[in-house]
Amino acid sequence: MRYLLFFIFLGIYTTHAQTSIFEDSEGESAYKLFDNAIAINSSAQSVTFNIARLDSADVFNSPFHFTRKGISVKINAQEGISNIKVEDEFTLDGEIGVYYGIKKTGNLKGTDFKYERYISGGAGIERNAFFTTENDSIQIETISRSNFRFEIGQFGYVNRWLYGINIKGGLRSNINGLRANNLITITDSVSSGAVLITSEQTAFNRANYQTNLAFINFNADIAFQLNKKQVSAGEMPGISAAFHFRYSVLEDVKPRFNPAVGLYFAAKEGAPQKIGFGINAQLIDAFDVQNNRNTAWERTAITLNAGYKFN
Amino acid sequence: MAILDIKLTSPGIIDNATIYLEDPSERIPIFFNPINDGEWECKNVRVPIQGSLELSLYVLGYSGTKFECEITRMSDSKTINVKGRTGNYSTNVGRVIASKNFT
Repeated sequence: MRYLLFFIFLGIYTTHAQTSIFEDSEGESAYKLFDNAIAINSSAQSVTFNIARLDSADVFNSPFHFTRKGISVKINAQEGISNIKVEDEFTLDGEIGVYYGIKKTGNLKGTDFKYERYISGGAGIERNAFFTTENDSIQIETISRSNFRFEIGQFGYVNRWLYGINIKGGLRSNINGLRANNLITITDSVSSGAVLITSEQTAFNRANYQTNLAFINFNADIAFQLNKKQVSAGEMPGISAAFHFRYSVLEDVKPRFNPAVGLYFAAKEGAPQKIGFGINAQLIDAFDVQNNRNTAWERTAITLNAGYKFN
Repeated sequence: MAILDIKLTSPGIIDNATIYLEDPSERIPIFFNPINDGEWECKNVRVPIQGSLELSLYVLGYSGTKFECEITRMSDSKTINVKGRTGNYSTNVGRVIASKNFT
């Protein structure tokens, strides 16, 4: 038997990503970090570049108000770095984002940091490989679609507590919830049952793909510095424990509650907010409203985040 | 009258800073301007100085943030350096009080 096209369906859960200091498995975060930095999220398989500038706020004519403007570029490789390219076409996702924030501080001799309030937006392109079946043959094509997001939020700290809250909305596809499939082409077989595989690629089922779906996410982060005495004495970098509240609503899909807990380590002593790396565990769809018939452990994502400051 | 450039740096994030120079009552603050989160400055600060410089520095940042302040006298480029960490004045404010000579 020659040129037999044989399908093996493997489900692989994929995620989309954003960037910040307390990133969960889907890249969501309410507390923002604005260094000129590169951030890597293991679960979301994303790399993000940030550049931001903090200025005295002329519009307020106050020594306690500042404005911040930033830009970010994110690259998200679906199915891992090895699948950046399918045959002759790139399947890389990309997004460009802009940020504008107003930071307010209090009287330095008496009170503490007040807040940073911001608006942010971004537009992106996603490119993925899809297959369709027709008359026992498989057609594969690469499809590009745009998406955009709009976000408002506030973050800050009070004593040893860090907090962030935000609302994010926009239009996107349902690619995050789709399962990718491995398509294997078999060109020959022998009497012993062994087969010769000549090509293998990953693609989504075109019939399940929906675009321009409205979404809105509600996020909150709260973290507490665990080792204040050691940090204050200059003995070691800060270690913080955090809880993340995540509630996501996507058009035509039941809303999901995706809480997470995490542990975050500052990159160096004397810089307690500069997270070098963190680990968190997130329960996706905590109440199993989507009835995926899997266990809570199977719906738990463990994420490692790492950041590198390049100035 | 001396003309000073003052620079404040940190490996972490500084959220604001104020310095009082030759002002024992701390009534006239000199506010820093941000270059970025870890670098702030005051330029062309005019202060009448006789001998040593008396200063009170307040820095706002998340508890445990280290900072260093360098004051440069423009006439001869001599400097004064002080260091500190947020948390010694209030949880998120560090204070340094010093009387130092330029070297």
